[in-house]
Amino acid sequence: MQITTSDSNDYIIINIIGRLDSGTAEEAEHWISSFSMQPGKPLIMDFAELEYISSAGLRVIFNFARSLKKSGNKFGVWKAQDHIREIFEISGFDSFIPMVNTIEEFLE
Amino acid sequence: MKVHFFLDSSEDSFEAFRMQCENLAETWDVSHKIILEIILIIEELYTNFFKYCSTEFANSIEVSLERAGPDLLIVYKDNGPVFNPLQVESPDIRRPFEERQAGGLGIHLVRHFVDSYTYARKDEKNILRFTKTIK
Repeated sequence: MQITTSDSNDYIIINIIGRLDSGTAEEAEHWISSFSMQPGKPLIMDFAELEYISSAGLRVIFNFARSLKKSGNKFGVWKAQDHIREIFEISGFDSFIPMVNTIEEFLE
Repeated sequence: MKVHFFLDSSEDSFEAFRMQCENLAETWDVSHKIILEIILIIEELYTNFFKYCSTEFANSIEVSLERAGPDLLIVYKDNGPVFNPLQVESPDIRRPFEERQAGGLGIHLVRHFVDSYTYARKDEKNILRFTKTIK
């Protein structure tokens, strides 16, 4: 699992790459807790290269979403693969983490 | 064709299982998605077991996968105390975000990705049998 960020003037993209599971959740949790969010800046979680997620990974995403909500940062998930999207739906995560179709639409 | 796996709490153990599972996609001519779902089912049961079991005795898990026509039979056994994880209640996924808890989704996912399941206690082992349609 690897996490990279790219920062533009208008938004931040976080790429979560590989597997977010019981083996990597702790590392991801640690990364996220040390991540300092810029006030008001929208954040996009890019899942294009996220290959696999289990409940341990969902927990990390849930906690991240909760802290972003608390800090008032707009957030969404972008380019999730079909099986990841399905797991989001089964878990009801799609009700509080919007799926981003295009960045322009998301920023509106 | 039947494949057996033995897992313990070491990190390498689950990784070995994962890699062997990924190789089954070709052998059994099933989609990568199905393989990921099988890995997910076992990961959830595996982490659940090693999170809650006592460390007083040697814990182990045995998994067998068998292709039977359009179905895959998954048998999971552990040597823990009497416990049926499939009875664990699913979280209410329709609750508003503010009221939801982060965890409890593992067994919910397991139940979703199989077509039937049974629990039995035999020879001091918890035995879960699943069928999963793969075609």
